[in-house]
Amino acid sequence: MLLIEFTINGTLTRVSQEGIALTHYWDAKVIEFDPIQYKIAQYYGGYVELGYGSISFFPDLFNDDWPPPVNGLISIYYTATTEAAKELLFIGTAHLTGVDREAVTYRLAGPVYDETVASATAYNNDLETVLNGILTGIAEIDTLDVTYGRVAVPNVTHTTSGDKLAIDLASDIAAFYSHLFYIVGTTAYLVDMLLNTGETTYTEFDFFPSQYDYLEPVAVARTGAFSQFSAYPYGRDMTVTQYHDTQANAEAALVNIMSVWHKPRARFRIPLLGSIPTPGKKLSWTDTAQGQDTDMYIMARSIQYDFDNEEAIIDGEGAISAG
Amino acid sequence: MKVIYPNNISAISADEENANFPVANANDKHPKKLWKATTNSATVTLTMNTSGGDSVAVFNTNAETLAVTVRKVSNAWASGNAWASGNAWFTDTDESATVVYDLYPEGVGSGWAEYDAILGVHVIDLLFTSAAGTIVECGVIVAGNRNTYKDPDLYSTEGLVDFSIVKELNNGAIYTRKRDVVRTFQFQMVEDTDPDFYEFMFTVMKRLGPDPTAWRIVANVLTNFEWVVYARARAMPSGDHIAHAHTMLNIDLIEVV
Repeated sequence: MLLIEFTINGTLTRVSQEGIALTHYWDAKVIEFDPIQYKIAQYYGGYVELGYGSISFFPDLFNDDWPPPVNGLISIYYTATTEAAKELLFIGTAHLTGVDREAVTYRLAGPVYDETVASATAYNNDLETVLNGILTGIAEIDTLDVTYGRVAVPNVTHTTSGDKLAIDLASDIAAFYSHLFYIVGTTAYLVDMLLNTGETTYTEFDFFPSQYDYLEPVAVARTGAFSQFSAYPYGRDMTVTQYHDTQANAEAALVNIMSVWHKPRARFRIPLLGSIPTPGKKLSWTDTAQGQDTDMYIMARSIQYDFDNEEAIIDGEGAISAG
Repeated sequence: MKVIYPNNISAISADEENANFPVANANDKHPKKLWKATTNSATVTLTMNTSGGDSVAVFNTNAETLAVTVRKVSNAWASGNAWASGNAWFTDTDESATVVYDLYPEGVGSGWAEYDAILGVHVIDLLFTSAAGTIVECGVIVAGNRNTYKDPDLYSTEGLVDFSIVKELNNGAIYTRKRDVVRTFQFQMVEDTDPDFYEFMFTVMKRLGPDPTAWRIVANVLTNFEWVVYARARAMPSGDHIAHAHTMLNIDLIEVV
């Protein structure tokens, strides 16, 4: 169940899609809500950014505040049970985009991470320390949680050339070392793409028909003067920015990138039940609807929460085998 | 068939209310938007406007009994006036009457009460009592003037509309998330064209439009509360003038949640 707190001219208003009596009454005032989505920067890692679209309300929500305010604070939660158990999905600003006879529509705007890193900034430290320095230098981020970082933390050596947005620099460095990070509230969570943040096993009573696919393979991955070749010479060329000077370290990073890239992928669809998955979660299941029974797992990378259709669509890479 | 229209409640109050579920919630158009008391027994007081009323209906309540007390408003003695000697107070023994309705057997959460019409401001006290250990609640209260018509003819249709989500799982099983299931009623009855048909069309439906109100669809034979529903017209009613002074009225209602 989607729960939305929308502050209208200083007054907190609780609304939902269907009218829900929990600790408070969440009035049925939401007409349409675009799915919100975690989307990873690169298939092999980087910033998993939360994307969002528009939300439409019934005009009578603003009967006492007409015309509707131009903007307002908005917090979006999900719960499968109680109000106390609600999980924060989004907090930001809703900006008015249109009013017609049937709906008042706002576009959601999240935090803007606009801090930059100056040209010629030199880094020579372990990945977690470097990312912590960059990300907590952003005003809206207080903490980098490294619980699910790599055990043997790789080292970063890099000197920036030209000003860069801090969030983009952090994303590129994390991706080079096959890590992802996502942000909830004021905390950034770092996750090793080669590990997971815990596993959930699904039975066939728990998921909708899903699909499996592979990316076009990479023939050669290059960074600076170094390169690594794959077992797929007919594949594409890939070039990534180099974040370590030493050949062995750079080539190890390229091996990991190609390893993640070449894993089988799935687009896994589940009902919105219980705690909703977050990036890095390992999801495993057996699919008996294929030609042969198939065991599959993926690590969640991009996640679409479709509240109108009551499902989460999770995209990620993992492993596939005969069931 | 009986319809309460217009709704003549001018003020509503309760002796108990959860601050998050105020009694004003019972005076809107959304039965799911509840008034909640703080115990299993609480009184809601309705003040009726000058148009008065003769009926009250409650919806989406967990109350097992509903005690309805109708009383006229007591007036204060205007200051500066003196009591003329030789006159006596007139005592109206009908001023306050209480009738208790048992809502429990049907378990449909609805109730309907009627009283002799009072053409002016008066007060209705509704004592809701639910099972011990529960918190009594109610979704909507409608009170006002009762409009009475013939009951539906035979072969009327009653059904359900399901707003649940139903999807196929990977193994062919079905995922369901139960949401609201509402009742529908489609029926006809022959009314006198004038005044009944025109009164229903012009005095009730043309003013009511798509808004919901309290309906007692069958009133003359079946008297329990299964036929008491808070509904709106799914399509505006129509009439077939089948005889010189009689019209077949076609009505299509859907329950509101």
